[in-house]
Amino acid sequence: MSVANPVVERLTRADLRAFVSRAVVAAVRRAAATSPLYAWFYGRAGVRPELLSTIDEVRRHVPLLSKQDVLAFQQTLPGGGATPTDPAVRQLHLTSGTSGAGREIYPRDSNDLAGLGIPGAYEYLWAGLRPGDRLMLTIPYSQTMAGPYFQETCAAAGLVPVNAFAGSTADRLRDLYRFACAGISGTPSYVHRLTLEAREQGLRPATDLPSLRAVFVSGEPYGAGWAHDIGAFWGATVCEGWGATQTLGVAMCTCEHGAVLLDADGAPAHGVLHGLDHRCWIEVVGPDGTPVEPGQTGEIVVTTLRPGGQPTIRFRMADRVRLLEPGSCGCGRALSCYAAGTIGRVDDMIKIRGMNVWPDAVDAVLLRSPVVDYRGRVYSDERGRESVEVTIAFAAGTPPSAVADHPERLRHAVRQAVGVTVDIRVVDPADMPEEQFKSRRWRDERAVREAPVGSHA
Amino acid sequence: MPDASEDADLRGATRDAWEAVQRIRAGLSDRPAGGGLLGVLAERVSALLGEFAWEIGLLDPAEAPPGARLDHVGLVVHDLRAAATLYGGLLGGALRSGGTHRGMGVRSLHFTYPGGGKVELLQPVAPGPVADFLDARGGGPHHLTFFAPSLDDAETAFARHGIEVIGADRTAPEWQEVYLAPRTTQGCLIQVVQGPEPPAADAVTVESVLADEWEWVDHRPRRASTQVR
Repeated sequence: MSVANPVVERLTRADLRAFVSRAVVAAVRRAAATSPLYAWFYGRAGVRPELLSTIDEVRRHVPLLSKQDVLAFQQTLPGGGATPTDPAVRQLHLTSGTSGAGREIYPRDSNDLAGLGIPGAYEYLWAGLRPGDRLMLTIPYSQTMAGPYFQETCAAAGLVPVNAFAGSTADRLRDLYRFACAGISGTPSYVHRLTLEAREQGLRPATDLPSLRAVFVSGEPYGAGWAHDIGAFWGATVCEGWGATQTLGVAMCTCEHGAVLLDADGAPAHGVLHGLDHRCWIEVVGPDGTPVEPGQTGEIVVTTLRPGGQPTIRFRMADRVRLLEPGSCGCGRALSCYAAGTIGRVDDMIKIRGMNVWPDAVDAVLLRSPVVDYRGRVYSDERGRESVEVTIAFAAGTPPSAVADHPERLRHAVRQAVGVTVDIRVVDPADMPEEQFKSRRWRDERAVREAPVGSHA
Repeated sequence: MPDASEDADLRGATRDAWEAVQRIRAGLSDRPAGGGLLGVLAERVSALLGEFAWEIGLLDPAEAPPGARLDHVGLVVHDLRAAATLYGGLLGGALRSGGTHRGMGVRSLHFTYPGGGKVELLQPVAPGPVADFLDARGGGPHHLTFFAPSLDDAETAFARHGIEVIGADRTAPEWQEVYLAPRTTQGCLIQVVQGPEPPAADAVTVESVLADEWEWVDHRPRRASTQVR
């Protein structure tokens, strides 16, 4: 068994539960007393966190906080969530707002920055990587906070980051071998693309890249069969981490067992994510906010436990996960358990090339005269690249000369609005498929969802 | 994996390091620009050490952040029963403890409040400083009591800033205290304590305190009848 922290991993379930309970109550009280956001939110809701003394009381009395609540609060301060004169603030972290839904502001103090990479280090060290090992990072630095978070996680684990986000896929394959990397980190879609190109080049990393031990994926759901094939091709354990700006880094991750296992029939099945419970309290709730039972799927709600510049208390992540019984993994750790590979959205947000894209934001750009309707499709092209095709229809009778440059202008406008480049195709309104619900305008046909690596869209 | 004794060593060393870093930061805070680069480096070292302490389970998650904590306000009253009605029933305070402190010549009650905070009601029962205060001022706010993580560090900082200590009791390891001269604190008598907060005494009632059934011994309320003085 790999060990990241012998103290935490030796805790019994009862000890861990008691610790989390005390930490949650303290975090809620501290937030109410010190954070302008929570003073505002609890004041409006008439909540008195200072009267709470148990985690069950927190569940019953402290309301869930949503992105919309945070954005509403940010309208009340000139600096958004950051008090401009607060001398303790060392960085401002903003969520990726090119989605069009607005950017949450998280002021960070020195405690936050010191702890930023620690939870993610569990994922790397549990996967068997050791200080000094090289890890290739492929997640882009631009537009999201993911890059700096990955960098800090490498620092916390003692790993040497190979910052490959600037090169081509061919460059990255070359550098994996040149630097004898022990791990690769990327989205499932990008790992898929890397794998296709490696196959095209005739590489056999399972035998000719023995240094590689783990492939770390995050950011989108993937099929167990796909993950099994990826692990076999690279000769590495496929691992997964989940986290966000709101959780100050990773909040749940796989252990040495990885993200895919073989069931009793020998078929690939999703493995187990462990909550890093001593740093982040994870709840899984139904639509009415009540906890779901193990085996059921619900929305992830997070509470950060370490004191910091901007706490996150009972925040609805709008991501969903399947809760598992504690001990489901069999690794012996007392940490909470969730199904790997399946984390997706509860709303209609789509993650494209690491960017959060809400259809509403695209609607606002596209659904203007003379466009009367559109359909979007996210897919993997023949080289495994995440691609987006948008099919639009102009109002009947629109003269072609009047809209000759319209597709190119819309392409630019979508890029400006949501940070994603799309290909635009124009069809006759009669050829546009009927859809009852707005969110059905979008289809996700990316190869990593279920298909094995050899058969892509 | 380390065993319990190894954990204890780890925790002890971390505490020592923490105290050293806080001394460094306190020293730098007096320098121009807070020590500049040195101040920022010390802040980062302190933050990293805080993470280390959390990861080894040293920090109590419910513990107050480092620094002094205001524990209570001491109020001198001439009618303890009437004051108990006001600060207890009318203001919603919960009686936490109480008793007679023969050395100080006072009878006291401690009330806590659901929204936070604590008051100590002091009624003089014998000649002494509290009786003198009542005679001179007719009662009212008498002192503030803070709990500090390190009385040594606090005293060093007080001396550096010309704050004078007028009384000290450091005879008991579990409870050490100093009083700061009001003439050097802009008029407020301040008690600074290093030690655990005395536990609540559920059996204490207002009537039993007024009947002298409880007295303060070693900073804890004890039934007077069980004490041999």
